[in-house]
Amino acid sequence: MATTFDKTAKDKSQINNSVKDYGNQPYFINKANQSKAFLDKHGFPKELLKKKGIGI
Amino acid sequence: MLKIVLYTLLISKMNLDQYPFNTNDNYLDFEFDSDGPNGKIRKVVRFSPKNSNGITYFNLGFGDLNIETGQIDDLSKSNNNDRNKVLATVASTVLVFTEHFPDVMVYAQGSTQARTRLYQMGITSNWEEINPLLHVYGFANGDWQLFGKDINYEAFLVMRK
Repeated sequence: MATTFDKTAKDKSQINNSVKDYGNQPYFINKANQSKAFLDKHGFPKELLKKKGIGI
Repeated sequence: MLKIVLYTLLISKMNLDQYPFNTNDNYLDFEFDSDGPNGKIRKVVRFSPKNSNGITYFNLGFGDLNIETGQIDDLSKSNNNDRNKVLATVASTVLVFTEHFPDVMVYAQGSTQARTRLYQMGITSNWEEINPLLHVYGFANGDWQLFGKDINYEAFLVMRK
């Protein structure tokens, strides 16, 4: 369902290939690794897994 | 007619309440400029793909770009008096990202408790618009639960409805 916020988000976004790929930034790598440690330990919300069609 | 005027006013107000942002053609990296008393500060949002227990998700990373070093600094304080506008812009990047990747989960956790609290404020402030679009879960008391406004969470997971 589209909302005004959704529309505004699209209106405000622009593809610009001068935007760098920040995938190698140590800060983002560390953050992503921390998130994995957290999710490895605590798992995902069961309801979201069901919505993704992942049986539990 | 009145409805059209009100809708236009609402759009105009929201347009003022967030910054325009750029992304590249992979939709993983977003940039925008905070503009305030301390000048323009480049903000970066990165959605990093990861896998946990065989499930792919994306981590939302957010920080300031240090133009001199080219590095991201999450712990800096911009003090640009535009916190709500910045948070609304980050929320918008999540909407654009999840529009392109509607079946993935996005994980967000601040670098500090205070930063995580900021994410919570961002979700709460934009809840009326976020709620119809996203499933939002928060982690508190050792478990994931549907987002509630008055609970302090350790982390968040969202997915398109």
